Amino acid sequence: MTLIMFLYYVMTAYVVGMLIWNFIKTKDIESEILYTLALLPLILRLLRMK
Amino acid sequence: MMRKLIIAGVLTLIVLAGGIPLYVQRYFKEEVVAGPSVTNVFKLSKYFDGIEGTIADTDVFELKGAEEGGKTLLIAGTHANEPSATLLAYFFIENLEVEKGTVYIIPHFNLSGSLGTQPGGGFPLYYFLETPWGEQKFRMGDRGFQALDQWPDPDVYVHYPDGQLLSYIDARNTNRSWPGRPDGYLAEKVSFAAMEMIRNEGIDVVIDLHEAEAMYPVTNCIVAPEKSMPYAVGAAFYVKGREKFENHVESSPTGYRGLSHREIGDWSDAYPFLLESPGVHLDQITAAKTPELIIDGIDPFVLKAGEKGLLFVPYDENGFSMDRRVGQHSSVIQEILSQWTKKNPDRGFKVSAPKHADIVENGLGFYLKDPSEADSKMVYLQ
Repeated sequence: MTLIMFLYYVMTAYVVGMLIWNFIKTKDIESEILYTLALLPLILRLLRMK
Repeated sequence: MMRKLIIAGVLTLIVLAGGIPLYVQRYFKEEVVAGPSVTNVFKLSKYFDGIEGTIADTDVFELKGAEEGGKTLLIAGTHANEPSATLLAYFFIENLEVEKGTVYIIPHFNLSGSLGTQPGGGFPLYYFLETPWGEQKFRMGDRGFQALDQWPDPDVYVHYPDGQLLSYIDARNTNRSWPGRPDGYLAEKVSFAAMEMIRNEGIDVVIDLHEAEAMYPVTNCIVAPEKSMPYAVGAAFYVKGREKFENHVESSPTGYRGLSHREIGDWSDAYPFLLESPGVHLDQITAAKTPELIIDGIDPFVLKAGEKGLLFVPYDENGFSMDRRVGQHSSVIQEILSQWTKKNPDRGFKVSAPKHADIVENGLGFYLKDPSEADSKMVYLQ
């Protein structure tokens, strides 16, 4: 894994963390669903599934 | 709180339902039985240790005849969504008889690409081939390196060494990465390793196997640069005359860089060829991209396009089956080597394997060996 690729994984993990934090904090159901949808591809990448 | 738990639970289910099949496919191994002509199997990193231990490294099968002669390299799996190439490689590994010369075969040149399909394109994860001993299962791959293995993509892919600007997606395309470089993208590294092999082994003939859409003009053909042209024309002429199928010749453009049929010839003494067989599953207009479509090549919308004169291949309700595509590859490869041998007898070849008519009549599966019946030392996982 190159350094740049590693940094992209770090950035992905950071964004996932922020999305989960926002998901927990929000009280708006539309925002909860939106955060969930945004999380999906990022989690698949972090888990190295796709 | 309960609502958040339900939404998180749904997300987890979607991740697992969508992700696990992809994960399983990535680790699914195809089996090939080394035939009597296989004399050695080694890694491509033998020629460039910069890919050793990476996903870019891949197996090379050596089939060396008793008599000294020329050397040829058959590259399959450059685009892993063009499966007749890899199936031809397996068919040759198991069936090709080599009396003179040496044949090197790489079944998965872009191994990473073979480890994941194109879900966005609606392609299946696997396709299946009927054999006398049961159904054999193969991974359906993607055109380029998986983004899992080569990430991120650049905004624009700058070809090395020409500097031509190409689409960002071609940074992962092992047919835009030639001649490669030792410190570039993984796709460039694997091409560089192959170039090192070609130069160090003194390979005479390189044949890169592909499939193309029926609606794309560069299909059902041999692509060749200037120096390979006489052999390509001879092969096209003879398969038409002897075996009664069309396989026209296309000239390799000088102004479009990174392609195997251009760069290999320019950066080594080898004579490159690129073979395209018609894989209608690649056409955008087809119905569902099913495993059956990949194997039988029958599609009503492609047929309709044919009726309107929009295709570049002869096409009817019988489709363009895998048997025909692999059969064409087999015949054209053998004819190119025959043409080469006529003009270069000291660096010639004497090879044989069932050709187009045999494969169409008996089916490709008839020729594939049962790994469960073979000596386990001869079974290679790909």
